[in-house]
Amino acid sequence: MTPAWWLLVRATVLGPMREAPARVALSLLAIALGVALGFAIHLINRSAAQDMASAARRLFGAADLTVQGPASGFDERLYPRIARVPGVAVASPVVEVRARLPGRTETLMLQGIDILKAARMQPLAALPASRARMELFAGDTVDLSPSAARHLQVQPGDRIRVQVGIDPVPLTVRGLLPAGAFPQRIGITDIGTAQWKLGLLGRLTRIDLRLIPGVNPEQMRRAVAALLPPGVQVTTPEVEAQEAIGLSRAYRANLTALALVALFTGAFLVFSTQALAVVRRRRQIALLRALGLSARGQLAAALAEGAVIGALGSAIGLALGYALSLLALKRIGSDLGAGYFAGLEPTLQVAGWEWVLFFGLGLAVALAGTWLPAREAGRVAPARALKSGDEEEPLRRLRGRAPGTALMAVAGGALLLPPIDGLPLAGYFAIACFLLGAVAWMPTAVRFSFARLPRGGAAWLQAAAAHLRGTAGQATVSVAGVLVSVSLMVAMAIMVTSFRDSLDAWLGRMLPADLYLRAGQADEAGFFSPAEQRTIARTPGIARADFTRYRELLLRADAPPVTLIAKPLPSGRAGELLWLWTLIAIAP
Amino acid sequence: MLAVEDLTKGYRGSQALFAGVDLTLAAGDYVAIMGESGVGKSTLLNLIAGLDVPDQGRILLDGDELSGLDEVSRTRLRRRKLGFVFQAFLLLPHLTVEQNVALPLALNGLSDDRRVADLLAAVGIGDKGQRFPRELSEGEMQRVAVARALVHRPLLVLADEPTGNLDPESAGQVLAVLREQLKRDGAAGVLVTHSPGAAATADRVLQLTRAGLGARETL
Repeated sequence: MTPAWWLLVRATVLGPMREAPARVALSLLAIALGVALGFAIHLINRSAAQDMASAARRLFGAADLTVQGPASGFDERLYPRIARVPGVAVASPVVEVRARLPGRTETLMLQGIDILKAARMQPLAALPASRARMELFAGDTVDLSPSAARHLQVQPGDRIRVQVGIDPVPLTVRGLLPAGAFPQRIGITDIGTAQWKLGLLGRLTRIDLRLIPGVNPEQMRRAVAALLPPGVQVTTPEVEAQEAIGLSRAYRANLTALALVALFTGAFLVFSTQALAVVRRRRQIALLRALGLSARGQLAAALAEGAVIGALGSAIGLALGYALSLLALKRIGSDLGAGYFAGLEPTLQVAGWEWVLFFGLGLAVALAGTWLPAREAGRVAPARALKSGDEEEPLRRLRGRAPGTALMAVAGGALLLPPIDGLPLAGYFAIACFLLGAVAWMPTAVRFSFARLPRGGAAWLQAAAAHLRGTAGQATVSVAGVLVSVSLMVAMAIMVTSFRDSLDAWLGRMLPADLYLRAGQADEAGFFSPAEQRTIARTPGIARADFTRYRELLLRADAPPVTLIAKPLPSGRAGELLWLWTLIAIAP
Repeated sequence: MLAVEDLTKGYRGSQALFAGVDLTLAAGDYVAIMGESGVGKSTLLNLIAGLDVPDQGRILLDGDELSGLDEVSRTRLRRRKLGFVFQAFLLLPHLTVEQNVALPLALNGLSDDRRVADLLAAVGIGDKGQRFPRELSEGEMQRVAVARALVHRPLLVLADEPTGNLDPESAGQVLAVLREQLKRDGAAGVLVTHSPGAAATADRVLQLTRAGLGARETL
């Protein structure tokens, strides 16, 4: 015996879904892809940011404050002055260099430490075993984190080479740092070795400070700041860790916006397919209402259909998103190849709340997309809908010129707003308004277009045109679905193309030469000495050689560094080369 | 059981479809209503079913005055006390024959496989319960609709042109089945039809005009 409730579920929810597998598949796919993209981007971003913050925080050990200079460092004579400030318990000097590895594209973070000072700052587990600590004083040794050793495929006793200037400098791998102490790829060496071997004699890049218990960190920060030269900042390790994450913030925000757009598109596709389904099942709905299904029951049934689609789509999306993030982290890296988290090997761990959150998000999106069609289903007047030919009736009411115009006006206004907290949130809002405004104008646009279809010609042409005119409402819903989907694709294409074009234009202006020679990226240890520059310039076949220096400057402790580009500017061509400045200068 | 008193209905901005309609049915009565196209026969059925509201007059069904009930109560009343047979059958294509017939029971929170099987046998398609509507002929589909209209033992069955889409032979069989089952269950029935032959299967035949409902003198 079939239970009554089960028959009702089959009659109102499952049966209609089985009758239209293509429609259900499209809705499922839309939700699954939206959830998968959102979940994967969230997991990748979160894993990378979390691991990066954790890795950055471990670099500072138990420090309460940190004095941070540019990559070129600051005078080491600052160290004793800071170490003597009343309230400082331990001051640990650090030389930190991102060293290029000859023959490889990636770099290795090398940290030179004073082992005696650092032992009081770092958890012991993070440092080489005590009996071996003194060996760090040996001139050319380095301890690698397990991830670095794995990546470089070296073992204790092997030698690695790092590039200083354009010369390779050999270092012997003395041992491995304890597993789990540093998740990133890093090498620890003696500070003297780092200064000597990496071309930073007399320089430090950082001083970590541990304060005497009870001392106010903010007062200490102000006291230390008063001693610092320009370009050197004192801050807390937490701010430093946040800054490390902040480097990729815009990138992550854009990816998140992309995931939201995908979810919105999913919701709209659910809306359009459900809306058309309600229209096409109008007589069935009317029959059920005539037989005694309440309006509330019909509304619940329609929403239940959305919930089934949302639940299934979310489940598929979560599995897909998890697999996607695993694959992305393994094959491409946590920054999807953008280079923000180089040297980090993030692990993928998903908390229970994250599964629940994204499942709920997919469900909510599907229900949101179903809500209006479900409400329409609940409002079907049985007496009228029982007549055939009534299908177009509810869609005749579709009008949206006023809200569409208002949305477009709001979008135009939002475009003028400045970034909020450094993010173009108003821009995202404007895009959403433009899209919704265009959707709201669809009924008018479709009716206008269909009314101008030719009325003569072959019979089949007349019949087709008449059919379109007669079902303009249903066509509106379909066209709106296509509009949203195509908008997403076009927006992505424009975003990628404009980024590429801008980069090409920028490169064309900045790098107009035939050949480029690079010793390293900004703030890496590679550089060309004056003698090497002269040698390069005199090489037969080279008409002219311009040398450029890149430096990252810390202007604010809580903001990403700014890259300073120094290059020779012939007086007659300064305006041409500084094209960006020219653009800004002539702007009203 | 059913009392329709001084019923008037028109569409907004136009003259009345009909006015002053009176009709009384006792349990087991079976009447046919005929009339010209557009005179409002289907509208009259919709009013009796509580699917539409009259401009004037009142309808009493088993003691309940429909115009005094809200939408929820009218829906409940339809669910329990009315059965419907439509010209276009209106079977749900995704349900089997048995499930289509059992639908009114399910809407009332009941399930009774025995009753469903008995009715299907009574209307002559006892061996087709597991089939889907698309596997049936039109005459068979309308038999399913008749079984569905009666399965929950309604007080009143409303049949709107139930043979309009059928060939004469199938139409005759469906009308016979409908009458037989109405009489067997003791339910009242209202049959709206254009066909004098179909109307002749009812106990009495009424003519709907703009002036009201009266006895039809000839078929």
